[in-house]
Order: sequence, then C-alpha cells, then structure tokens
Amino acid sequence: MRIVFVLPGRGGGGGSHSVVQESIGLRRMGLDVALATTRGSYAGFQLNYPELDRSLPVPLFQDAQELSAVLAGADLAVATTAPSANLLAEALTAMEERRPRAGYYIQDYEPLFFTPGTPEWTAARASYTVLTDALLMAKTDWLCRLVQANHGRPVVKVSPSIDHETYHPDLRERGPGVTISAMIRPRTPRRAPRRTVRVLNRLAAQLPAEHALISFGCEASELEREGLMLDSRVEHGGVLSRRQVAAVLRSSDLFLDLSDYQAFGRTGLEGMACGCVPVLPLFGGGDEYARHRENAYVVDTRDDDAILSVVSDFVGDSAETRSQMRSSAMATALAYSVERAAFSEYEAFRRFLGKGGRIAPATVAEPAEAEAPVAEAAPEEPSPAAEESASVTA
Amino acid sequence: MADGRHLKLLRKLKPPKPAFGGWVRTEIDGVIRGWAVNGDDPGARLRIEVRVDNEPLATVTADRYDAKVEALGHGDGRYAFEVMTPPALRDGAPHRFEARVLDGPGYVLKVKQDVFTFSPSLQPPEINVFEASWTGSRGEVRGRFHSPPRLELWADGNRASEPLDVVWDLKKDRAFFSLRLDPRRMAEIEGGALEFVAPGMAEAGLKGGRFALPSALRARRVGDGRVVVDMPGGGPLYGALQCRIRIGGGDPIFTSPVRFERQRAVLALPEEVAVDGADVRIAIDGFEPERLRARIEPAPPSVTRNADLRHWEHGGPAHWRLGPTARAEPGFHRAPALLRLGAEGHFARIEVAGTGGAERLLSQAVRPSGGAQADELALLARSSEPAVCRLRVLDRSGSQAASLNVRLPGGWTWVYSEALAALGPQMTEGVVDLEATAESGGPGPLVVDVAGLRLGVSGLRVAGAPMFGEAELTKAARAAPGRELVLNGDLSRWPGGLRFRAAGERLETAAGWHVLSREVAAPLHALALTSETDTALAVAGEGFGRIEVRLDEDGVSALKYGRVRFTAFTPDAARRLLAQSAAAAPRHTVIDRVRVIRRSAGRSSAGESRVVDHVVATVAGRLLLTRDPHEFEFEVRPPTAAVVDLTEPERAQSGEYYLAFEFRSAFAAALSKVSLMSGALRSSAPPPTFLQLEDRNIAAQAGEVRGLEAWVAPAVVATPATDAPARATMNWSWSRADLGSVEVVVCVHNAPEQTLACLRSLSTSTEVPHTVHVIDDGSEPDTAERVRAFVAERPWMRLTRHEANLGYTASADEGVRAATSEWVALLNSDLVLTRGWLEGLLDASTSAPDVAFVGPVSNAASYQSVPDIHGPDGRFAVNALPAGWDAEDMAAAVRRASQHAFPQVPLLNGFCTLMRRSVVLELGGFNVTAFPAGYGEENDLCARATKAGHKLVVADHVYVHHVKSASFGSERRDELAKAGSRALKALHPDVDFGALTASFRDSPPLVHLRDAVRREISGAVSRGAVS
Repeated sequence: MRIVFVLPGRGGGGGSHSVVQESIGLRRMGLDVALATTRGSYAGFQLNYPELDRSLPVPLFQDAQELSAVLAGADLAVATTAPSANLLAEALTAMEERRPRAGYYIQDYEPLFFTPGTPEWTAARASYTVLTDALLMAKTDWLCRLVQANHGRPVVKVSPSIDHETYHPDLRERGPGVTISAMIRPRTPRRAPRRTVRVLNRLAAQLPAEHALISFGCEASELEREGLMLDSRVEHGGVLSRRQVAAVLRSSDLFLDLSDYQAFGRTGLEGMACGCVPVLPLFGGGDEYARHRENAYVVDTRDDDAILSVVSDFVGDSAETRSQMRSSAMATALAYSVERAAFSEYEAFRRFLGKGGRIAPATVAEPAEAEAPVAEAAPEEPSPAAEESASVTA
Repeated sequence: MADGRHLKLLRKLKPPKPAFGGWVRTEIDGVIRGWAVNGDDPGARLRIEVRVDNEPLATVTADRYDAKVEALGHGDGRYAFEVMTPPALRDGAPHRFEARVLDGPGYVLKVKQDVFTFSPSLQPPEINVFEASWTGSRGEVRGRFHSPPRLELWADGNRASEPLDVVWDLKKDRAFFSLRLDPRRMAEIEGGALEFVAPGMAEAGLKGGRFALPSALRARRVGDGRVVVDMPGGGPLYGALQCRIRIGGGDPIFTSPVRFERQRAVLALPEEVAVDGADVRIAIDGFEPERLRARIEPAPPSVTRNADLRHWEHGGPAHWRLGPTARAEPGFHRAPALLRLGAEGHFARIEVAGTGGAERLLSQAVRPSGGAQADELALLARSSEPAVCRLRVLDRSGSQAASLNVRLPGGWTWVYSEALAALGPQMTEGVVDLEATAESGGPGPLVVDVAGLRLGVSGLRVAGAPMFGEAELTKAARAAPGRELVLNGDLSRWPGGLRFRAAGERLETAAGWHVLSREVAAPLHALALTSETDTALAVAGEGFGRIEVRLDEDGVSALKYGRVRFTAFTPDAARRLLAQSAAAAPRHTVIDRVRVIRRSAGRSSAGESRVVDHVVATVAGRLLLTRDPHEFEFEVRPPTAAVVDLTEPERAQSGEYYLAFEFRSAFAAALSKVSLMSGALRSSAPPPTFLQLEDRNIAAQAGEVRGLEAWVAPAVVATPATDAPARATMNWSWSRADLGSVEVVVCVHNAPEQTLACLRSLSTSTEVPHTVHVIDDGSEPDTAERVRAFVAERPWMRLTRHEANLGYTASADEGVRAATSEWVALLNSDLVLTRGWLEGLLDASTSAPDVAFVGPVSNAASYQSVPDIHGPDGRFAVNALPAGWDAEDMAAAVRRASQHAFPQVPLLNGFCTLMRRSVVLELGGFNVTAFPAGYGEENDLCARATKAGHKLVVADHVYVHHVKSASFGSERRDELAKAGSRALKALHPDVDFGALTASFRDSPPLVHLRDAVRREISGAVSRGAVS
C-alpha cells in the first residue's frame, strides 16, 4: 500500500517543511511514501531540500494527467495545498480504475491568502470539499475547527513537528543584553512586514544600547524597494538558509513573529527549540504550543502597544525569569518530534483506510533504491475500501 | 498754496456785515476749497454743504487751519475746508457749484467763478501703503500732479492728524513717500482702520491708502525657552519693527531689543523667564502702548491636531479623515531627515488606489482663530514614486484659502516644505486637505509616507521648537486624570460685584459664572451667599433660568470620563430674592437638567450667524433641592468626538464649554463647590487604539469567516491568563445544522439564577459549532422572562416555552426529537459547564464504534461523581468543590488525573449526556409515560440502548459541575427517585441493575480517576493552593 503526498512548487515555506520532513519520517518508519512535485519547479525544490532525494522517491508531474500516472497504484494520495487538492481531484476523476483514496493535509486556511471573490479565492475555498470521501487532516485544533465550521467537513488533528537536527538549543551562558530577532517578508502581507519593521524601529528607539536587534528573511535591497527602512541599530542578516536561521534563533532571546495570524507558526516553535522565547499572534493556531508568559508571549498583533509591552516586560524581567521562560520554551518544543507527527499521520491513515485496510511496508526500503520513480514501482493490490470509493466516485 | 490773487482778494474784504462770512473756489488740482466763519461766535466751526449741479456733494466742517484766514484776523484761522471732486465730475463738462452754511439760515458762501471744468485726465491721486508700523510708514501716490499732495491721517471717518511731515521721492506719475509716526500719538488714535489721504479726499468719500496697526500682543511658549510674540490685527505690516521687549510686571526681570518681522518675533529666552503667565510688554521708541501687553500662554503651535501623526485610533490617524480610497497604517523610523526637524520618527504610510488624477490622502476640519495664529502650511513627506502633493486650506464654502504644492521625488526621499498661508481673521473654520497625484499619470497604487502636515504658527523652524505634534501632548496632559475642569468652581472670584439682576440677557456674576434669563419679563436675581466655609451663588427666577459655569476648553474637549460634583440647596436667602416680585416663592425647586454644553458660532438655516449650543453630555436630570445643602455626584462620559465635518461645523470640538444647570419653572437655588474632575477611563471603555490586520485580503474576509470574528474586533483581544491555553475567544455565533454540528438541549423549570448561570457557562465554555435549544417547561413568569431575554440576545439559541409544566421527560424527548443534528447534548439546567466540555464528549464518542451516549464526570452524578460516589450518609454524594477552587480548577484536575480511557459503562447519569439522535429515535425516544418527571428515564433509555448493542461511554477527562436539583427540593427528589426506580424495575425485569451499578462503580478507569482526583486535591492542599 502506497501513500503519495502531492506537493507542487519549490517549497521553502513552513507547510512544505512539515510535509517533507514528515514524509521522510513516515518513510523511515517503513511506510511506502513518495512525494510528488511539479517538474517545472523541481530545481528550486532540490535546492530547498537537498536531503530529499536520498530519503524517498520524488516522482514528478506537470499536470493532472501526469499526476494520474504518478498516482497509479497508490492507495492514498494526499494533497498538501489548496491548488494541489484541486489538481488531485482532477487527477482522480481522470483515473478510470485503481483510483487511490484522497487525503488533504491542510497547512493553512488558504482562502485568507486571496482577495475574496477572485478565482484563486474561490478555488482555495473549494479545496476543502473538492475531494469527496477524503481524509482531511491538520496540525492545529484551530485549523481543524475552522475548516469544520466553514466547510462542514471533519478534520482529523495530527501532531506537528519540527526538525530538531537543525533547530536545537545552545545552553551556554549568555551576556546581560537581550537579543531580539524578527523575520521580515516584505512581499507576504500576512506576515506583516511593515508592522515588523515599525516595531523593530520603535524598539531601536526605546531599548537601552546593550540589547541587540536582528532581522532576516529578505535582501536589504528588497526592504528599500518597499520603503521599509530599518533603524541603523537593527542588524539585517538578509536571506538566510535554515541552518543560518537556526543559528540566529540560538543567539536570540526573543523572536518576534508579528504576523496577522499563524495557522501554526513553525518559526516560533523552531525558535523555542533553539531556546528563544517567541512573541506570537493571538489569532490562529499558535495556542497549539504557546502558553502566554509561560513559554511564549501571545498578543493581539494588531496592536503595536501590546507587542511593545510584552517585549518591554521580557527585557525588564530578571535574567532568571527570562531563563525560566526559555527553558519552558525548549521543553515544549522538544515534545514535537518528526516521529510523533509521522506516527499521528500513520494513525490517521490507518483509521481512514478503515476496516480491513492495512498499510504495507515500503516496497523500497533503502534510500539508494528509493530514487527510482514511484510511478514505476510495482503496484500493490488495492484495498477493499479503495475499491469501494473508486466505484462510488466513478 | 498762497498766491497773489488770493491775497488781493482778502484785502478787498471788509469786516462782514452779516454774522456769517466766507468764500469758496475751485483750484486746478480738482479741489474745492474755501472758508467760513460766524463773526458772532468765532469759536464755532461751521458745517458747510457743498453742492454741485444743485446736488449735495459733501458736508464738511470748516475747521482746517489756513494761515491766510488767520492773517485776515479770524480767530485761530481754523475755518477752512477742502473737498476733492470725485472722478465723475472730471468729465470735461462744466459744472456749477456752491457752498452753503448749514448752521445759518441758508447763507451761501461767496464765489467768484461758480463753474468748473476738469479734464478726465486729471484724476484724484491713488494712494497705496507698503508698510506701516507704530513708528513710521512707506507708500506711494500715483496720478498726475505738479507737486505731490499733502498727506494726512484719518481714523474711522475722523481726521486724526494735521498734514504730515512726508519725505517724497518723485518719479514719473508716481511719488513714493515715507514718514515717521509718533508711537504715543498712534496709541492715542482710537479705531482699527487708519487711512492716508490727501486733504479733501475723505470729505468727498474717496478712498486713500488704508492700513491698520497691530492692536494687540500675543505671546506663546512653543518650546523650552522659546516664545513666539505676535502683534496680530495689523496689516499691511511687512517691514521690521525695532523695539524692546520687557518681561515681568512692574519690576522687569528681562529686557531685550527685539526685531519684529512680519508682525512676529521669535525669542530665545532663559527658561526661568519664559514661563506661562509672565507679563510681556513692548516698548517702541521708549513708549509702551497699553494695548501691546500680553501674558505668555502655552499655546498650541499647530492648528491641525495630531500634526505629527503620532496618535492613532482604530482605523487611522487620530483627528484625520482618510480619503475615500486611502488606507493608512503607522510607520516609525528615526530618519535623520525627520530628527533634524524635531520629529521623532512617526509617520503615516498612506496608500491610495491611484486613478491617475489627484487623490485625497487626509483631511481635517480646523478652526484657525484668526490669521495670526495660523499662517503657515508645512508638509514633511516622501513617496514611492515621483508625485506632487498639494496641501490646501479650504474655507467653509470649499474655496481654497491657501495652498502648498510639494514635489516628492520618489525613491522614499523625505522632503520638507512650508509656505505662508495668510488666512485672515475672518477665517474661523475650514479644512486642511492633502492630495497627491502620481507624476507618471497612470493608474496604480501610490504610497505616500507623511511625517507631518501642519497649519500653524510660522517661524517654528527658526525657533528650533518641535514642528509637529506638541499641541497633542499638551492636550493629552490637560485631559489627564485628576484634573479640575471647572474654572472658579469654588466661587472665589467676583470681579463684577456681589448682587445681579438679569432680564432677557446673559450676565456674568462670579468670574466664569453666567446666569441666563430668556425674557425681560422674567428676570433672574443673583447674589453671592458667603458663609464661613465657602461661597455659593444664589439665583432665583420666575420662569426658565440657567446657570452656566465655564469649563476648561481643552480639558473638556479631550474628556472621555469624568465626575461632576456640586452642592445645591434652596436657601431662604434665595427665596427672599423673589419677595419683591409678584410671584410667590416656589414651593419646590427642581434642577431640570445638568448638562455639559459647547457654545460655538454657527449659522441659522437662513444663513445668519448665531450662537449654537450643543449638548456634549447630559449629566443628570430632575434634581429636587432641599433647604439643607446636599452634595450631588454624577459620572460624565462625553461621546467620542466625531470627526468634524464641514457640513456640520457645530460638531467641531473647539468652542466654549459650560456646565449648565437649567430650571424650567419658578426656582430659588444656590450652588457651590462645583467640580468636574477628569477621571481615568474604566476598563470597559479603553482608549482608542489603532488596530489593523496588515494583509488586506485577510481584513476583507475575516469578519465573514466563521470562527474569525475576533480578528476584526474593534478592541484589543486580551490574551488569556498565564495558565490557560493562549486562545482567542472563538465566537462560534451559530452553526448550520447541515454542517453536522451539535444541538444542545437545556430543559428549564424555574430556578432562574442557576439556569442563567448554566446558559452563561454554556456560552463561554463551548468552542465547537453548536446550537442551543432551551425548553422552558412552564417556569414562573420571572424565570420565563429572564430566560427569554437571555436567549433573545444570542442568535444561536432558540426557546420553546411550555405554558404548563409537562415534566422533564416530555421536554427532553421533545428536545432530542426537534434537533436536526446527529449529536444532541441533553443538559439539566443546573450545570456549570467547563471549557472544552463538548469537545471532550465528542472525543469520547469516537473512542469506539457504536457509541450512542457519552457522559462526563461531575461532583454529583451518582457513579460518575468525583472524588466520592457516596457521602458519609451513604447517599450519593454531592461533592463540594475544594475551598478556593472553581469548576474550571476541578476540570483541570480531572484532565490531569484522567487516563483518557473513555470507559464503556452500562448506565449513564442523565444530568448531561451527549446522545446520538438516530439511536434515540430508533429506540422510540424517552418513555414519557413511565417517567413523567424524570428520575429513571435515562436509565431506561440506557438499558434499551445497551440491549440494542449500542455503547455508553464516560468521557473521563471532562468535568461538568452539577449544582444539583435546582428544580425540585430534596424531599420531593427522594420521592421521585423511588418512583422512578420502581418503574425501571417493572420495565426491565430482565436487567440486574444491582450488578450493573456495581460494574459501573468498579470500572477501573473511574476508580483510578477518583483516586487521582483525591490526590490532586490533597496535593493542592499540601501546596497551600487550597484550604
């Protein structure tokens, strides 16, 4: 029995990271998992996930027809974004027989990305219902409830994960100054780049000199183009690799994620894993792991003063209190392993594939062999459940 | 002017036989000149009427000095007059003229040639004043003249000087003049408008060169040690005035030479000198005109409010209105370009849709009180691409009164620009408006950052004071909590006497205290009533009357919350004030209304100016006064000031503010110790905060997406307490049945307090989509009404009312059947639900296939009770919460203690059950006949369900608190329970309920749970968390 995650695009976002590392996790647990991505963006995808080719098969496709071919013989095809859900529905409809059952690993509430009424928005809304008889799953209660409430489809909660290989703490003693870092994404409005710059600049004006401010996430020239001028006191690190981001987070005491909302807030949790206390938006699914004033600060990010107030509280706290919060953050993050997330997904798959359904071990266990295109792998017999669903939707 | 002909003529004159004498003639400069005297009364100055072509041209007084007339032996020689012929008579045609003494019996002055003919090329001189000050003036005279005319000064239709000593600079058809004036003499001249004329011009109604001298002084502190001194009211006054400034009353503490440019001097003074209230005088040529005195005021430097865009409210910069397509958010950057101008780094990033034409960014209604206070426009901005910004001042009719055009080069380069805005004193209301046009001319968004835009006093850049925004700080400080806003509230100052009578007028009594009588026929009498401790104002009247106490304008206009206190009574002294009038003293005195009013200049519907009173807040009404003083206290909350609209100028925040006490019928009242103290805002009314989602796509739909309602909340959403999961309150307002949500059925019979507490906890603790169906089973009217009102406010709740009590089982059966969802939660009305209760029950429902019913644990739910099933008396326990704990604490303890085992059990207590509706229907519903009042109906249903192969599960991680039997008393409960038990046994003879309850009791997860909860409680006790 085979599972194919459908992840178009070059990746790089928090949602893609989850899918990639959890696919690898499932594969490591012995399941036959492949990750199908688009041919056109494969080069970028490889750059973002150089480890992938060694870990699991990555079949490529460019349209629904090719995706149908990729899915031949699979038991479960899991979309990971709204466009991929729509594409998957198309691909499944085109499949005459041996149609896999459908799943959608929801990473975000994607209608929020688009202007209401546009075709993209309509498609994003449709993505939650376009797959009939599908397993919908998400990694925060918030996202589960949101989809459930607005689209009437039950969503199974699975565990989130972070990559502890990359994001780990540095427990060495620190100096008296507090280092505050923030990510700026000038072209992603929901990440609130203007608010982030404004707050960093206000902090630059307010904080005593011994405290440091760091930003990263885009080229300085991009900031300038958007009219986002950082105070000279803010040290801008430009575009960083994941390892570099982890290093910045390890050197930080506080990480500002001032997004309008976060469906999950991966960087915040990664920051916690690096021993850094995040400031997170109250809106969204951050409550999955964040406990206000315990391991994080959770604020209504629409209000600058609310943000500045918690930063000033943290900076004004004793080193002991700060250290306590950092410890609490690290302890929380440690609970989110790839294995746990992969296992929760396995459980969801197992229940969904249902009575009599079983999940076969990977047909290709060795990474070297895993490089063979999945589409060419020997297909397993379809489960009764899959047959049933195929006959219903045919 | 003397010539030989004239003298010859005079010699021929003999002493006048008639009492009147005099001559008149015309001269080549177009002036009719003459003299007239009354020989019997040489001291009299005669009034002469000059007529041309039998029509009166001018009436003048023959009082000008003429040396020749004096030489003729006529008194002091002041008997001459001059009248300049107006242009209409200079038409090249002959005109006949005569001059007649008005004071005599039609005496006509002698004339040699009574016809004149003047060419149109000879016109009266045109006089312009370039510069005028207390010490001298400059100007020009245009026209054809052989020699420049004499000049004299007129003020308000009266000759104010003899011909002046003028220095001329002659050009072709033009003569420039300059002259010195004596400041003492100028100080003596009354009236504002002064005029330089040639003799005879004013008499003929011809205009000369007009000007006005500054009539007042104004000194305002604009920064530490910086004082801007203005001489408003004058003009034109473009030159410089050298003088000395003296600060500090009779014993000056500071004197310095100062030079006024354009009526303004900016002084840098020692800080101890530049203090509010210090006396400032100007000495010009050693003379201190009385009218040029002032006290230093802490005046706002900007007429525009929030000029530095530092303050933000929900949706935009405070006090500014955004253009129709504009969207704004705050920015902050300590750019050197901003810091140099004294700005701190705040700016507004404004994005407009960009149609290719001019787009309005911001506008604000302003009240420049006279030109001198608002005479400069300034803008500090930058833009994404090259653009032209236009900052304008529009008057009430929308006409442009001043403007400033600034080109922004794009590339986010800051540009500062300023321009004079001579608004004139008549400009009292208007709008400051900022527009931008992209230079590219094409459509597309244009982003402009504005760091300051100001209509205010000029010269601040020179002074080095903060250019933008100081006014707001001052204002905020004035509305700070604990500030007294009533001026002279203790009635300590009485500048105009101690006893008053106002008839159809508004009259000031104590300083800042006015009494208002509307009709002459109904006068008010007022009197200062002084006791050993304080002073009161006693007022009595026969009809409508009002007492107004002046308030601090800035403080009240910024007031959000305050407390009004005053002492009022109806003393005999006030009653005696009416003794003289026909009306008897009133039996009762009632203050009809106490209000905060704002008085401003407005216009009637006919467009006439009038005073408009606007009620800012009504403080209290219908207060009956007694003979003994009573202290009243009220809260006042003026509504948040609306952005001023040009079409509704009365709403503007400026104006005079009063606390007004109104009386509608005969009254005799006294007021003392009046206070309006600004207070801190209550938490229920937080100060306005700028809240904005940055992503427009999210902002556009958040309010529409179920579950994201809080994202567009107008107030900051509070973060939950430390130990609770940080979760925004999910306001699942309602959910459609077709979405597979849960219907919660609550059966109610009386016990309103517990019922409402239950419904409240249901509202606050339920986070999954659900609807609520409340069935009021014949409650008393009080309960029925309160429940109805509660449900009416919540769209996701509905109510069914039984007029008669049908019994619990019938209600429960009806509720389950009426639901449309698959899962129905059936609740008693005496529960306290805890956070996540319904999610927990739903969790447990998926723990095994065929689960039909799920129940939580509780303090009083037979075998689902924790920590004890039975009490010491052997009856089922009603476990009390540990002292200091609430239901949520217990729920948390249960969550910690639970193994999440979701044990399957044979029965469930019916206090709170999640039921699969299809199963209930399949089983035929509740047995209403056998268990009419409840007490057994759930066991019967459970037994039937178990027999049909369905499973019953305890959600051992969910705790719901049961207040226990609110509907029936304890004795009645026992009776009902016994009856239920009998019926149950009769219906299910095949079921060994004893064995079932034993297995329920001994279910290992529940045994574990009870133990673990006990440990939780004792652990908390030992930590001292509970007692």
